[in-house]
Amino acid sequence: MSSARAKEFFLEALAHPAEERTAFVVRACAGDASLMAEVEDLLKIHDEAGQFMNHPSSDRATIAAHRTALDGDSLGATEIQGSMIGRYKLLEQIGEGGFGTVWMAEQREPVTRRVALKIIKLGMDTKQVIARFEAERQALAIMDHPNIAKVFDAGATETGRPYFVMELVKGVPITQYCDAQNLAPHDRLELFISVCQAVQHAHQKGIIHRDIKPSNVLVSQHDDKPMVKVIDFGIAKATAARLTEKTVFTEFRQMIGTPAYMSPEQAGLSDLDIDTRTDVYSLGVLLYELLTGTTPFDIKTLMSAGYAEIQRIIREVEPPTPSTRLSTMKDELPSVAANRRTEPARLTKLVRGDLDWIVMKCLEKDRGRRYETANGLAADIQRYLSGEAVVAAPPSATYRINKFVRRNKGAVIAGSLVTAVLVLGIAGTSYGLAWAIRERDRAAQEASRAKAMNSFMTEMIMSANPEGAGDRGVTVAEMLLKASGKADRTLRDEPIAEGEARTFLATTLRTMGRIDEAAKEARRAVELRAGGIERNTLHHAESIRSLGEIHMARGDYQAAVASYQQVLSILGAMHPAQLKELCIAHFDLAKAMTKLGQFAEAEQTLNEGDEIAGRLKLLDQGIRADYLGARAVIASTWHGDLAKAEAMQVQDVALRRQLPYPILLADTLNDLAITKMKKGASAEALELYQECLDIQRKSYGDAHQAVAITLENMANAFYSREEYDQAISRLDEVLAIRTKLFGADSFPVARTRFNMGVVASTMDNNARGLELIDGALVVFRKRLGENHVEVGQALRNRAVCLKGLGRLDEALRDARQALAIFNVAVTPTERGRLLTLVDMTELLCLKGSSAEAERLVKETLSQLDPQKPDQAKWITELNEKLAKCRESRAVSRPASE
Amino acid sequence: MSGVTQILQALDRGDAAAASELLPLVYDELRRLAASKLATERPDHTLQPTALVHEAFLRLVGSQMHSFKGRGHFLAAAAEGMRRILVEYARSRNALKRGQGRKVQFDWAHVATEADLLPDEKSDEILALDAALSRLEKEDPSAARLIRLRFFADLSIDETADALGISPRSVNREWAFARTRLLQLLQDSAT
Repeated sequence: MSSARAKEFFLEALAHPAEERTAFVVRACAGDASLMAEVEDLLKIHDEAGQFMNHPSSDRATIAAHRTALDGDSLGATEIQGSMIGRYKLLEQIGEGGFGTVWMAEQREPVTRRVALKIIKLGMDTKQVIARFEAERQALAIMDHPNIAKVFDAGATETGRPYFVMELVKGVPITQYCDAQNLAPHDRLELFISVCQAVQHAHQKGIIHRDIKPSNVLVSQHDDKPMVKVIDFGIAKATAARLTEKTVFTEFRQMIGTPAYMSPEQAGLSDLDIDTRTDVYSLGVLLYELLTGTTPFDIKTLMSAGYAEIQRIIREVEPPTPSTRLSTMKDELPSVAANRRTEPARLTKLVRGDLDWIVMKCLEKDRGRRYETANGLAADIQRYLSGEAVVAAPPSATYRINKFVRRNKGAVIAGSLVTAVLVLGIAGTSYGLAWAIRERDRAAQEASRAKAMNSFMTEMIMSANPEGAGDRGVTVAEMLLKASGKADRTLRDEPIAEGEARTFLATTLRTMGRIDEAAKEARRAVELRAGGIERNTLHHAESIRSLGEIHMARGDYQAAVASYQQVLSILGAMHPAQLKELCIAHFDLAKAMTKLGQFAEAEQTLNEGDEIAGRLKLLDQGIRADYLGARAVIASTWHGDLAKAEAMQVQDVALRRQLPYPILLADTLNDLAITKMKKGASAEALELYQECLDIQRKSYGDAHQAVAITLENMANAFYSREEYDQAISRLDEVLAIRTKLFGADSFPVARTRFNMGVVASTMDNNARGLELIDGALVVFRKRLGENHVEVGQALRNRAVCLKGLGRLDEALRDARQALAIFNVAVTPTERGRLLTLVDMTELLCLKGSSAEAERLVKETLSQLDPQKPDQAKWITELNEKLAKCRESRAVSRPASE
Repeated sequence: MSGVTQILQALDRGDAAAASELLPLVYDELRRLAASKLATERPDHTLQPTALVHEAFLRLVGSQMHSFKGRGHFLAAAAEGMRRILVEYARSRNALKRGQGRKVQFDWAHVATEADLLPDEKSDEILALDAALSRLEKEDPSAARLIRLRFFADLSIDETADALGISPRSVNREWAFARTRLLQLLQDSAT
């Protein structure tokens, strides 16, 4: 009977070095002689147990190999110790696996030496195997490298099984060696470089290994130095080739190796097309394992998968980067790190960046993107070790999108129309989603595509079901929203794909003006990416950025600033630096800050962006134009330097005329027109607006938000020129567009009604004005609450109409209410407040309450500073009103007296 | 959906009673597979526990992904199934040569590497092993479970770790004791 304490002390003793065990047991058992005997007996048996139950077959590779063994002629190992195979005497079995058995053997002729003899287990065409081997024998013979185990011979056993004779290597698999020696990452990389050099040597002799994995890369200790030996060169080819001739085993013909190390082209249908980059892939897997302790694809997952699934995983699934794998490990990470003489956090940090990209470059599905040679790989690792910039870099967004589309091909074929729209959309923007191409370019692209797609889809659905579509037809937006619902289900277990799809949906919905839905998608995308393996990657930043754009579209600039700052902090921590993305992110942030009136901060941000731009050899003309535009807004709004702003905008327009995206030219024309308006050059402004409008109509169609905004700006210009009929006709168009886009009760429509009301009252059509403003006011109150400044604005203008209609009491009541709102408003509008005060002064006069008018003006004047030009204007105006009031009182007083 | 998949899902949900339904299904499948292999192959055919267990898994559960917990339940049942099969074969073999009274000699490396039900001496080994395992079961059930998974289901350390839901490190530790104690028990019975 073994006691629990005996077990405990036995296990503790094992943790001690062999020579200290006895001392430990004596100490631990503290005089308990029977316990001590028990523990020592266990230790003795443990030491004598040798390989009892430690079966090498547990080290076997894959289920597929076993299935092959099952389906094939599962010949047992009939060779026994001492028997002769050819001129080799079997001494001891030293390994066993899916392929067969390995023996240590003795060769007597022509030299006496010990060799390794590998006997292939499967029933196969032995003649073919040997023929294949013979074909490579010449090449194998001239391989002469200290890190390559020589292959001497091949032959057939009496039972007809092929065997290979190799240099006997006493070593352990490289992964095992590194863990046993607790090699630090740098030492592992050094060792790995010598593996690459060995493989390179073979490649130069025209030999591809085809089966590089830890058990074929052995390490032994020579004079305290690790010595690498790559074994089995030439064998995979000889043995794999015969399988292509065995149609029975078609399904498994390539699956003899370990799928975890197998390149996509090997997992493919044809294994004829294999080159040196196949070995580069497997070297990448090996490097991955040396760094993280795991293979890119979980061996257990592969084991539980069927052939088709294994194939799919190897060919389509993108493995996480090594650092991501490390950071998602739970219990294992401390021991993985300890095996590498470091701490978990340090290991993850060390691997993140260059080493990630070196490994991922090896693991590219498309071998054209891998290192061309094993030497190339070794050189990049050497560069990393000596602190130089590496060649490997994170994949571009374009490439990622293409991969995304490729991954989802199955879904396109199998999925419904909705899925097809979603994926087609992504395919269409393959470069639109790229960071390097700017957001607004993308918007332009997408807008026109969406237009085309919308009519296409509508047509298609209408033709299938003529009564199906209602007034509004079926819009692409609706299809996208359905796609979003579908994503809930179909992409549930694919967080990476879901994050990508939702980012796309967010951007597209936003450009279509479906802001709320877009926000929902963007939030989910950010959540997915923040919580998954893509945390703090470009993808993560991209999703946050799309959320920022949505905040901008909503006018929530505070939130936009927060989003863009988050983007900057992610990008800023990335290595190598993402210069172009950083430039764009600085611009985004500056733009949002400008909207908040944080001009100094915005300018500072632009300066920082410029500094980064200086490090970029080739600065995108588009980015240059962006910066010009942003600086112009700051010059005009903050510095009040209209001339400077105009000069920059003129330059910006000229730049944009050279660039391929007309929609961006339209935006710039609009900005310049606004500056012209500020300068009072309304005729020039109108010309610019017209050009802008023409471009927008061509790109977006007639019914688009951007078209409405330009029309509204034009109405404003006509209004300032007192061409009220022109203004009204533009506003009529605006109303039609917004009603169509947002519905009759929407906020944008209410704002348009309000503006129309203002024009009407200016034209002295106060009844019409009142009607329009009343309509707007209902919506404002409902949407914004009783005390919003917009409500105050509407009340003030309502008062103007009522005044014109002679309804003075009502007018005064509205004006008072407006003033109350402006006085406590969170975002006070000084102009609105002062205008209301001017109105009230007049109204009070008209009502004969001149004393109150005097008091009001006096109080207001005390708050104003005549030294400031913008305030002086109001002082004059108020004094004028008061003077008029006194005048009228002077006129009316005699009559009343 | 096969019955096994449903049972695994029930186990995943914490329905412990489902385990008793799992073993017969897995056992029957393993037995059937083993018998068909033996019937169609040469008489000295080796039974490969890993291959059988995986084959059974594919047949009963399919190739879709399962939670490791689910796989763990399956593998535990498969290990017990394989133990019973091997013991049965060993008994039937021994029945043929009853009365010979040979002394059991162990060739450890071979018990391990082949885990076969092969020539007669292996039958003795299996039976002795099973007897020792029963004793181990009484004094240390977790050690016995480990032996079953490692030896009868032929799982690697990592797979065993997954099946038991513990770390490979813990498995290695437990394993060091389990195999030592089992060997001790075997030696006790052999002398």
